[in-house]
Amino acid sequence: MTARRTPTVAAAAVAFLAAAVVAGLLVGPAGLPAGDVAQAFAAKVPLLGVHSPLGPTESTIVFDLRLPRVALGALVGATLAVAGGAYQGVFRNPLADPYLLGIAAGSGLGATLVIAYGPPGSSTSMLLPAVAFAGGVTSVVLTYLVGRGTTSLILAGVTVAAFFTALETFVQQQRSESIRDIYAWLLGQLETSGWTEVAIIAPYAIVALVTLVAHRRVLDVLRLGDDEAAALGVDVGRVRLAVIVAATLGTAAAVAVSGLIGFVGIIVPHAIRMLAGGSYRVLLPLSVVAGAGFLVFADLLARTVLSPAELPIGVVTAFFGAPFFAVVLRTTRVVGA
Amino acid sequence: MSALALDRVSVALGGRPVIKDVSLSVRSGQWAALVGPNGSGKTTVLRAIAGFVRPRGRVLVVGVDSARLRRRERARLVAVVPQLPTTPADMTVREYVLLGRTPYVGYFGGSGRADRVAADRAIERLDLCALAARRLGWLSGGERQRAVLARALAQEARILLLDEPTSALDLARQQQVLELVDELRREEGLAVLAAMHDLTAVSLYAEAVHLLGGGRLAASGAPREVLRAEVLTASYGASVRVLQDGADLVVVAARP
Repeated sequence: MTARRTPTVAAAAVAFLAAAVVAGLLVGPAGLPAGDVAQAFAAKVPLLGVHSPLGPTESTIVFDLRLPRVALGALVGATLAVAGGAYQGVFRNPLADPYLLGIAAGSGLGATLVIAYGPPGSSTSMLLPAVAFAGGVTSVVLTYLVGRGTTSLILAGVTVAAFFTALETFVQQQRSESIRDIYAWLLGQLETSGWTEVAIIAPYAIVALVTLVAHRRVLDVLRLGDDEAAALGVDVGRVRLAVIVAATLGTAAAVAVSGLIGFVGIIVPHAIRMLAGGSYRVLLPLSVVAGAGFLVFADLLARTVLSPAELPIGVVTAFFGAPFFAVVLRTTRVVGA
Repeated sequence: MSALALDRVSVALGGRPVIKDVSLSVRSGQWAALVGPNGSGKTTVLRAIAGFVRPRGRVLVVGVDSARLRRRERARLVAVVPQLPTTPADMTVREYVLLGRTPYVGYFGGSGRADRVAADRAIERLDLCALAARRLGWLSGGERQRAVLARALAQEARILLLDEPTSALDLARQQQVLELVDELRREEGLAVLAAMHDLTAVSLYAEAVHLLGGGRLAASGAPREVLRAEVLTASYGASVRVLQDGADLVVVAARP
């Protein structure tokens, strides 16, 4: 069943991503005709001799507003989905998500500190993603130091997260005037200023995606449990560390530019697991594709549903993701991580 | 040369000694049984050989000190069938058996032709061809145990460690699995060390018996030498009778 269904699910995931990207480029308040946008893209290809029908403003809308936003959504979605899938494998815990080891609380504290105490305008400067990234990485390093050598790395994550969340809440209470900005950040957004955010996340995301997908076979061995994997010559501790490092870099970079976007790292890998089986050789590559498509699509909804206002994308991923996931859950046989 | 030799092996877990000064050896093609009451250290001996715990003393695997072997090298020599193997329900038999090739596949690599050939051979050897595309969750207990043996066989190891290989099976399946292991060790020259509870089965299949009591080796030798009522009674603290059935021994519990 798995083997026969995999090509179908893979094709559907690619089609879903393609549709999301096209929609993300075409839909927006400027109402540009689809044909013109397509022609503008063709004009970017040398030697075709096509001329763009778009004026400079419209061209900027497509290539410096919509395209980077789509690219950012794809990178963030792919990273969160594959990090969640890999964590579920390495901890053999179906509820593991990319924020498992405390990234959310660490980054949240970093962002809160910048917004609350930073110089004016720092919530939109490069200081925020830098400190959020540092906070996320710090929390995971602390979690690893506390929980290393024990079987309760997840409990260590909960502990570190609780501590950082307490600090974060304290700062928010101290600076209640900035709470609105802090919440806007916490709920996630894919706002871009040109290609800056894409350039920040791209190196981390690509390293994370490549490393995690490269672990797909080893993660299948880990499905047999630590002892049996060790008996097959796998250094379980090293695999776990490699996955934690890669997932942390990718997730912290994603959080730094887009805030906390929940549910993607759980819903995407589990939907694929239910549709195509639990083998990580299938699950991780498809999580990259479907995660990218899912977030681009969610962002499209976030900026159109209440247009011209924007919904926080974290609200969209949960609001539309939860019912979809419930349907998948009810209609397929449940397969453990 | 012994395929497997333990030289005064001791293991302490959490500061508490679990096995002490255990020495034994298993030849290629030999079936050795590890017997003893619950908690006597059978599983710990197997775990020390598999490299899950680091023992004092020496474990020699085909003449090489196991502590000097790298994980992957050890996995090419020693295959383990645990008491309760994890068999992911949605994994097909073939995918599962192919995982036995892990010690031969690079960290980021995929399985190659040689791996598929070895897996197919193991599947054929354990009569699983018709079930190769079936998911593990859909197999009966006996079929699943055969898949686990096939995975161990695909590992192409020289030593097979079995921890209570038949504890979850009915009488016929027990017999089937024990016969299969017996065939494999004869035909493939595997050295088999099996922790076993069923002492009658031990007398039927094992050529050597090592009796553990309180972490120490209480007796070693041929089944006829070790499986004696007074020895077993002393070690298990149970009232036991050993009956002669032709050339075989039957070990039964008696009312004290």
